Amino acid sequence: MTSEFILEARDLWHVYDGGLAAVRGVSFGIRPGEFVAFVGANGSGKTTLIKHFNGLHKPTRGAMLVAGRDSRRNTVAQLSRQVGFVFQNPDHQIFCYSVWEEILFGLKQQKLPAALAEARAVAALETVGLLDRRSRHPRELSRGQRQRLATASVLAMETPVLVLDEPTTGQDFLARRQIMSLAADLHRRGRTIIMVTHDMALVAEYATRVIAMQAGKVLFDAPPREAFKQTEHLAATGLRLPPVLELVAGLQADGWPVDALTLDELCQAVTRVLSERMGQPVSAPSAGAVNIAGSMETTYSSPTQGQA
Amino acid sequence: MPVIEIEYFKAESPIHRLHPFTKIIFELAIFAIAAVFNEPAYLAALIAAVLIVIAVARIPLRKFRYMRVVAFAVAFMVVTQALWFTSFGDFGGVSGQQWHTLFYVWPAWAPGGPAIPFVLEGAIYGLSLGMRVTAISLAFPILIMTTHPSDLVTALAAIRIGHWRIPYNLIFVLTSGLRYVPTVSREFDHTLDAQRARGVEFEGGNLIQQVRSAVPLFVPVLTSSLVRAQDLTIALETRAFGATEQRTFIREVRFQAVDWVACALLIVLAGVCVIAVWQYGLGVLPYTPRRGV
Repeated sequence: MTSEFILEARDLWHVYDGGLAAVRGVSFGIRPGEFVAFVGANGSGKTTLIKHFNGLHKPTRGAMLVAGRDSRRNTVAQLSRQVGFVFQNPDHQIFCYSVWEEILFGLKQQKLPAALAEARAVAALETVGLLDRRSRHPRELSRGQRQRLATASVLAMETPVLVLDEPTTGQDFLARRQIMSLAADLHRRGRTIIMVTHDMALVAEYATRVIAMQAGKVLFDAPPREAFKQTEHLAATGLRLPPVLELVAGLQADGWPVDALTLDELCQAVTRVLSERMGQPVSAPSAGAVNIAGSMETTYSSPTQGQA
Repeated sequence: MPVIEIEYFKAESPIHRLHPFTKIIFELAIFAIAAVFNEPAYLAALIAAVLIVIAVARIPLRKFRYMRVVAFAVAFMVVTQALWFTSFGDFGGVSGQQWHTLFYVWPAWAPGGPAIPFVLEGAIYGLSLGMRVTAISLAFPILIMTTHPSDLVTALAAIRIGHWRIPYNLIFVLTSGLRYVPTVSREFDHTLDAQRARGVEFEGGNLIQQVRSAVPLFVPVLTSSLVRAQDLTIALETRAFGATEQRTFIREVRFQAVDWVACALLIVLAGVCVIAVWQYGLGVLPYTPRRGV
């Protein structure tokens, strides 16, 4: 079977041993270089679905193609050269005595020459900012650092596709930023990123495509801008709009001609509208999230008064 | 979904309503009967009886998925016994027994062949060992699956021999140990997935490779179990575990007439089986090896 997609599901069903059908006839194709966010309530089948991407689950019915290869005819080890998979809990994979050994482990499985493996390990550790801790015991690291170590050990395999299962759950703001800017950076360098998340703000900011799941089926599949317009669908999956979009919706309801998906866009749009309404240029607030709330508050009343 | 799902399964059934002590007697009776017989027909009847109890208890068969592992063990016993059985040498009265060779592992046309016979009697003996394991591993989880954990605690705490009773700490260790079996099994599955995703091959390879590939599996499971045990300790301390010597229980379990009857029947049944074997030699293969293995 051939496919222009790097990941393609064809009427994929997955039924567990106990008879629970977790995925019920899902079809989609993901092209190289996409950044796809899978969203949906717990139990909607997201994790079951993404475990098909590297063959951990095999379809009960239908087919899963990974780089054009039928996942059923390939072992997980073979598919792991195409698809790197970062699990939610790093403690399920960390077992070595040092950060350095842990990162080399996956590369050893691929039987890479030692020099190449070490070069890749250094690069991956540098990317996640753990290079100075290479001789530490993984248990000495904080939870956030262990998550980054697990991510790095998958990064080092340099797979064209990277799957992140709820990478930011339980992480503080800083670690979240680090993980996401890492994913965005890899995406810019041409990797295909698949992310499962409940964090709508991250979806709005980074994803190029949103696939929402509900009860084992694809509810909608669209770029974030369109996806977030389907408010009733979103409500059905138990998801809330990202804060920026709720703000935009509020502003629109109040008569502001603004449309934005990220904080940066919102800043620019609000500045533009303010400039038009006040008839004089207003200096755009810097994109930093810190002062936006303040500037919104102080300027909010003036345009509505002007309207009235 | 974890392979080992031995946890309380809520259902309305006569087995669920029995006193935990009756179910413990049931398990002991099954162990005793499985231990005395080794004729496959008798053991098959025992397994059938256990399956009937499972059906009456309304436990779905999917809870017994771990029996696949047992199936491998049974196959292993059949093969090893078929190959090594004749080397036991001491078969009591049946010396000079003519073994039935099914085939040779090293065939006749090979140089030096035929060698390494696959003996029918050995395979049957191996099967009988396997059936014992099957009967016991089917019966064991019935107690846990049909008894609410706190009922089990209450029942164990009620046991008195003179002034002695089972220390509550011990009961707690036992019941919480049982409670964590599915959790650890789940953890094991997650770890297996995580390592396979990194390209570890768990299937195939020689024995040394197999043992080596176990390290990335067991280390994460063990460490997270230890971390969890530590968390549990802290949670227990914060709830003043062990503050009072004499514990009271909110739930009560009563030993009813049906329990007396069931216990009596089980004890009589087990007794009859033991006498049948010791006095009359029923249900024992004539070529059972005499020497302890």
